[in-house]
Amino acid sequence: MLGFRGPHSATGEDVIEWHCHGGQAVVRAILDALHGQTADMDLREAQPGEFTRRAFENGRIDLNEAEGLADLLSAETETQRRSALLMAEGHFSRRLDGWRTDLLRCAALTESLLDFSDEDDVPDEGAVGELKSSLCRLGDDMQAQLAAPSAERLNDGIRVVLAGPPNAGKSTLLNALAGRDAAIVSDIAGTTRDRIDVPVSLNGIAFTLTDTAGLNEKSEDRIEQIGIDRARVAIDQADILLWLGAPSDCPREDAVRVSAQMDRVDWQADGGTDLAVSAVTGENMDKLVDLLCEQASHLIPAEGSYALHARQRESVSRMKAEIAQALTQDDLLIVAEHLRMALGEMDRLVGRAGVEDMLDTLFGRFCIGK
Amino acid sequence: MHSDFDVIIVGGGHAGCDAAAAAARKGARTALVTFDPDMIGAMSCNPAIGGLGKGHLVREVDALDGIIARASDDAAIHHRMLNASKGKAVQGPRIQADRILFRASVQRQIETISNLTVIAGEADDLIVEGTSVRGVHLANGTQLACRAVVLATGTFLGGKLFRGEESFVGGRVEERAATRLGERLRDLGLPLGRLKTGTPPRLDGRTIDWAALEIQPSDSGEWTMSAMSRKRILPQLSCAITRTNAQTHDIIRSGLDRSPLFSGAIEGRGPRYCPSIEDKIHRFGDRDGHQIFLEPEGLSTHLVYPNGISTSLPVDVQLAMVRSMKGLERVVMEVPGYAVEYDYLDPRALDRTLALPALAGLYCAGQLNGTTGYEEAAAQGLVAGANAASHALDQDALILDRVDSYIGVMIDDLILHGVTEPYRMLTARAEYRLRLRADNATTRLTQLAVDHGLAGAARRRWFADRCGQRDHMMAALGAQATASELKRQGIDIRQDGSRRSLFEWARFPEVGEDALLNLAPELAEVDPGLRAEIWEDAHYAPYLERQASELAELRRNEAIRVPADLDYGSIGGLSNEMQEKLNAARPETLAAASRVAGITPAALAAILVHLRRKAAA
Repeated sequence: MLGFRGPHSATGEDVIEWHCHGGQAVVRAILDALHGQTADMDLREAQPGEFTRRAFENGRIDLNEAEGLADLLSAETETQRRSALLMAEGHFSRRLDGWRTDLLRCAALTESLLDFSDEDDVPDEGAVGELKSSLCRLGDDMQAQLAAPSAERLNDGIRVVLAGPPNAGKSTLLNALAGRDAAIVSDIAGTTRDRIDVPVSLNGIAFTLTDTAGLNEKSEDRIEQIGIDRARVAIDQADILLWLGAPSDCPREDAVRVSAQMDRVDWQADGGTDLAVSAVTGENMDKLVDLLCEQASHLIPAEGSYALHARQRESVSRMKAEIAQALTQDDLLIVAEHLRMALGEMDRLVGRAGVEDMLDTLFGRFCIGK
Repeated sequence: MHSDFDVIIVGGGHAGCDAAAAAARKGARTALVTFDPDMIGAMSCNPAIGGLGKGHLVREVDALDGIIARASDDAAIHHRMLNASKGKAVQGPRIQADRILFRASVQRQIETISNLTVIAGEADDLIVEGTSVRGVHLANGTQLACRAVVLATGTFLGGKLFRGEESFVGGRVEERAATRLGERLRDLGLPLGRLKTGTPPRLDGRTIDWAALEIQPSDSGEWTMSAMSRKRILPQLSCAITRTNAQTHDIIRSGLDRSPLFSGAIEGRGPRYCPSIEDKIHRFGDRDGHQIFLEPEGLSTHLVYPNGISTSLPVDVQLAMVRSMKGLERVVMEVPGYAVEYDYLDPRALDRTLALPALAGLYCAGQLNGTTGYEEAAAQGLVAGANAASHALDQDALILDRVDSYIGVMIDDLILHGVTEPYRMLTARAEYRLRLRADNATTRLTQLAVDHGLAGAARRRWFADRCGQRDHMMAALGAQATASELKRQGIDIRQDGSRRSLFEWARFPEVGEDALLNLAPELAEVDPGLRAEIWEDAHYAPYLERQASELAELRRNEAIRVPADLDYGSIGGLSNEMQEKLNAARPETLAAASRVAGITPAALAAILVHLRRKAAA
């Protein structure tokens, strides 16, 4: 972690930089930790180009750099245009359009109750009920979208974590799935001390396989202990957990319980396992791959469907939050304020929806004016 | 060059009067040119001032020491606080005015201003030198030299009246139009378009069966439009409500083919929120009836204004239509309704001071700029008049922004987006509505009026006293109290050990005004209106804080000026569509550019970079 005091920083303001390993997971974990630690601080992700803009505003960038920035900006819009086009071919923009229409209708109804309450054509009784049920539906719909798989899974791979007690055959299985010796394998318990991430493609689906330190309860070794802590974090974050220990010790309900060493002479079928394999003979390995791919299909967007990127998800989740807030309020002015914030978030996603759009909706629905 | 006046106002309607009074208050030698001085301050349409959004504008004009609010109080014969059951931010004070008394009050206020001269005549041309206005030419050949001109011509510019198959040239019924001035402005290459509006027939109240109708009495409150008015002075009259019915709608449909709105005779677009009854029936044919308010026009007249049936149908259809309604079966129609089509100036040609940059010294206000309503007109008049005086006297311009006033919202909307129909104020247009209440207009704006020399002596004294009371009250509300201390006062509040200022406690519904007065007895001396304003502030304080970062960004971007001659084509990354929109709107600041429809954050950044690069070069 490096601190830079303004005005001698990149942006001219006080800056703290985290330098970390390059994996997306690490970056994500740091961001999550920051969000968790600073709940009472006004912490948010920078808008596109915001650091450069601040640098500019604080006089840290000169003319030549500004030229470069202009190029960068047009590149950014070009990418945005292209990505917007890609999205347009999917369904998300249609869904957003639907949400936008619903939001505008709710805002129009609220405004009609505020600005035209003396008009007899504006519904009064039951209107607030109608408003709240529309908002409820809209919120639920957004929640459903938030619960759906995200684009990051598609690009970064499904996180498959192999966990279990020491010497359960985790590293051997990982190497077999990866098709190469990515992890060191030995008979010595506790060989794997840190987590090892290996990207692989199985049947055309991207996975990140994670080997973890064996969960040795009795370990006295401090380094091994750290590895075990990391293993537990990995277990929590796994999209799919392959559990290689005793089925009764399995830490997650939704884990796949694998008995990994069916080639051993002393191996016995265990009632609680989902699948027995041998990484050495290859027996049942095809079944394991099928099982992984089958589970993965629930985690990535279906063919012809679409997924939201982190920024889109954040916008949708903020809209959802504003709607949830609006639902708790009886004061229509405050309901209107939350809807204004939600529409502002929508603007960021689809471009500006001005007051005129809301008024169009309003005048189209009600006969207003004397 | 010798000048007869600093500022000349053309037009004696609501925009012209507040423009003339504002220019004169700033010390400019001012002239008001009008066809007929007797018609100064006339209400050409409904006899009411205020309403939702519009009431805010009236209070803001009053906070800037304008005249429309005082004229309203002098003439108010019916008071109604619209949205009284909702939050103060959307409450709209509305009065019905005695037309004659309203006009008399406006004329009296105009007459008492010593540096304001009223000139009867038709202004038919502007005297232009190069790209600057130097004076006004009258139809009788008189030339009046001046440094700045405010055009407030209302519906008179190219005005044309329609009623059924008939049409007349005129600005109001039985008044002539300013045809030559309209032609002259076209010759000067100003972007003009056509809009339309309309007015309902006037009825003889003695022939209305009032007993058969639902009565709406004036409210019993004590509020007035102007902070300077002590109390209500006139007897209060009631209104009545009737409805259109299936028969009315059949009569209207049978006359549609003779309506200029449907025959194509009228090309201008009318307001959606003040549609003609023909429009309502045409667009919402499924409704079984529309409410019509019968509003008395004054104490000494029997005329009644039927609010809700603006129409340009032929006279015989109008009469059959009104007589089909309950209570109006035997009504006598005194003046039939009509539609008026008029020239308006595309307000995107104006800047934030309501000046027309293409012609230095020329300012425009009111319906000419594409708005509708007395209140919108008066508010623009005040800004245009004050800025014409600033231009003439070389003083600072008066610029109001969206964050602090509805006037700022209106002007920003007009000059950025232009209009496609007559523009009316609505509270929905103000994104910072929670801050902009009719009851806190003084707190928002009167200091500005004092700073710009717009506030008269009486207003300044009153304001100084109010500021003193406000400071006193806020100091008292700064005192801290714990939940248990409140409990000892008999307040049933959650005992969570919290400690807050009295201002913060004021937003809790469990803590009433009485309890706060017990805790800080000195508050009892504060004016009840001011107390109510501060309770409302306290109530919405958490939301106002939430908006703070949004406002800070807006203010930062508002401080970044965009030159009027910026070549958007030379900025990389702007689509052709964006360039067109920006060229039409000519935003004056980066914040204004962000409000132009279709402008993305990336486009804004590109503009900013371009500006910085130019500034450094």
